[in-house]
Amino acid sequence: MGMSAPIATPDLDLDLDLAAAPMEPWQVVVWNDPVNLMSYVVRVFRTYFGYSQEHANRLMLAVHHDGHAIVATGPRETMEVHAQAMHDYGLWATVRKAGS
Amino acid sequence: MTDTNIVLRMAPVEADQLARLVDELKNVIASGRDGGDPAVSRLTPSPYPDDRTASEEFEASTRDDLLDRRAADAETMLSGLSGLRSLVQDEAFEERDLRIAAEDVDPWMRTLTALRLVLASRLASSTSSRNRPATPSSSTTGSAIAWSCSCRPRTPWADRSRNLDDSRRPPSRIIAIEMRLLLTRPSIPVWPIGVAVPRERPGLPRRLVRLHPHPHVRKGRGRRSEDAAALHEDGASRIDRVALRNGVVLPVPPAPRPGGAEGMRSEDRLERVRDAAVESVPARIDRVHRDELDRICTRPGIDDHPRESRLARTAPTVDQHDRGTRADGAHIIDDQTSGATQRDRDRVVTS
Repeated sequence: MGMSAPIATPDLDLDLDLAAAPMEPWQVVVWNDPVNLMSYVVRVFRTYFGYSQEHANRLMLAVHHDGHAIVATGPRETMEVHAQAMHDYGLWATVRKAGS
Repeated sequence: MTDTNIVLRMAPVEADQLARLVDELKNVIASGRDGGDPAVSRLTPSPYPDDRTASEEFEASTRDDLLDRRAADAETMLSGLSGLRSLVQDEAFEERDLRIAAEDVDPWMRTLTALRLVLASRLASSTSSRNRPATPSSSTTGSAIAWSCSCRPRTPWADRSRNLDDSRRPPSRIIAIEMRLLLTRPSIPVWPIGVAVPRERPGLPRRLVRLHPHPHVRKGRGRRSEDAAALHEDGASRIDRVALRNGVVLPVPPAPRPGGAEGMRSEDRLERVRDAAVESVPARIDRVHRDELDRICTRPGIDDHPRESRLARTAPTVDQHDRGTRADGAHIIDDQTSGATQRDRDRVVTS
């Protein structure tokens, strides 16, 4: 066989203009509710996000005292997955653009 | 955190009641798929509350899956409970080990959480739930879910667990189980719930009261306890005993007489009862069963017994329960309840 020219040279239409899709960070925000136990919320943060006890506790207390806390930041789709996981656990989570 | 199996101590009768709640949860989920049920909406919140389009897109692609997973979790929990549900007369109240496999812990907790969210949602839509617990007959849902709401304690964990200070917690038993899952505490004291029994006056309403085990919590708020206030409104002077579960009846000290200073304030009277309750029925007072309270509250004639001594032995028991009064098949449990009542009565010192 050896080296040979490619059989076909597909006509690629490369879009190199990535400015149209900026890597805008999004956030998952967990909101306070009167139902979920604090220890449960900490547990969810720890098991799902893998946060340390201290970090999870801090987030939980932020939710409790400030009414909400940003628990994750990243691409929108990932954040939606996280939000849905939070909904799975019965936490009230929303997704928003960072800085909004 | 979930490396090991968790073992709960649970009596078959409890497993059965819990399983029925989960059954109801499944029904709520199944019937609320089309939307419109706020309780189901609470299980599937919108991640984009300010963006209707994005919200609808998200919902269209995730809602069904989310509810499917709730149903599957509920199923996991049901099958975990199924081993305990078989009710045999003599064993209904005998606690046994219920082993929850490590991989089932999360489904259990998600189900319990979903259950509590549904309860909370139902509760929020009911106007009278705060001060006056809804009885089954008056609840809008007419279900065990509504009834469980009415049995909730207020701040049972305030002094026990440093993180939990919220005063609006749904049902005690669910929390108790949940707390055991979280903390695997060996036993969790739950507030005694009693029924204030009017003094031989047919027609006076019986009233559920919660006997606050931590009076300083309440005093700290600087306001009158709601239960005491309610007792007062209802003519506290005529209420002379509080019936606890399974035949335990505690006397309530006399109320002030209209003209003089003799007697005690409603708060102090209740406090006295609480102390007696905690003392006389340690540890297992949390076993207030929905059906029992149901019957205590609704059965006519509980205060028709002429003599206190006789009442103390027999009044709030369920020996002569009304069969067929519940539509959901609760009579299956009734026999077992009676059996355990007898045993508990033998064990408990009544005053």
